[in-house]
Amino acid sequence: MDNPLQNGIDGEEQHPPGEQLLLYVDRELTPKGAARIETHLGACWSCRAQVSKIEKSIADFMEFDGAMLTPRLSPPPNSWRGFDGALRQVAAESGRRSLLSIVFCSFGGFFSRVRHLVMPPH
Amino acid sequence: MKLEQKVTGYFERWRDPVYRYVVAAFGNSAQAEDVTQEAFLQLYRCLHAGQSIGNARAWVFRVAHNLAVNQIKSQQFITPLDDEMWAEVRRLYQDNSPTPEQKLIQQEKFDRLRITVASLTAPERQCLHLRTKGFRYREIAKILGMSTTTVAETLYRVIEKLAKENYG
Repeated sequence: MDNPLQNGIDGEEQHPPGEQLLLYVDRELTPKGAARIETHLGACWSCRAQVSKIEKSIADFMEFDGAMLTPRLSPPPNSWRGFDGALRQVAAESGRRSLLSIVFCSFGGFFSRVRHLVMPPH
Repeated sequence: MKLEQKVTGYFERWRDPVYRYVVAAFGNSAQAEDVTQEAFLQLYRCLHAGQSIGNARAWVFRVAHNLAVNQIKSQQFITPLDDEMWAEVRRLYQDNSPTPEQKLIQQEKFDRLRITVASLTAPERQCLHLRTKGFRYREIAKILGMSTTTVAETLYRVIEKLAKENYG
């Protein structure tokens, strides 16, 4: 993503929108877009404070998620016990389908050749 | 390596993050385990059918998300931490803050965050939890079936809400 900073009437660079600052923090801007934001931040304390707020909010949420949310989510009720059996069943069904498709394809080819021998195409 | 072993390997590596995403984004549903397992079974079916899957991790999240949308959409979102559970979580939390004042500040911060997170809309919750799993914006966009611009706007809204609660 790229967002060239526009110059104001007096030639002073305008502040980038907050969303662009998040994209900058998340390394989602193009190198050119990131370089322009970097240059702006070098001059603008206000935007640097904004970037710091974004970083702090991310850090706060990650701390909350790691300490309070994720460890307290209910574990899967069946502790994944059903998966191995379900996968074996799907594998067996897929295998049977493959075998059937091979058989049908082979017979299809055979019947097609026989049809051509009996009723040659015009 | 046999395909079954390969998919079992993926399952063991990614089942917990996928499950946690479904629970955190769609509510504490008993269906989250089924949804997660089904996503990996679909991965097996597609690989067995010879379908080429570039980013299997994002693919599994996308399928799990779609299954959750179809199966859990009719239910009201239940926050993973209700009041009773929250009181217990707070009690058990091992806070290393050096002073009682700092401990209180930390607790209040978590209380505010809990309220903010509970107030997020479904797309906001989904974008946030996928971002915490390390997905880039374009991957989140693919998983949720939205544009990268919408992901950026949504995530910024989330950050604004989190920042407003804590930094005014």
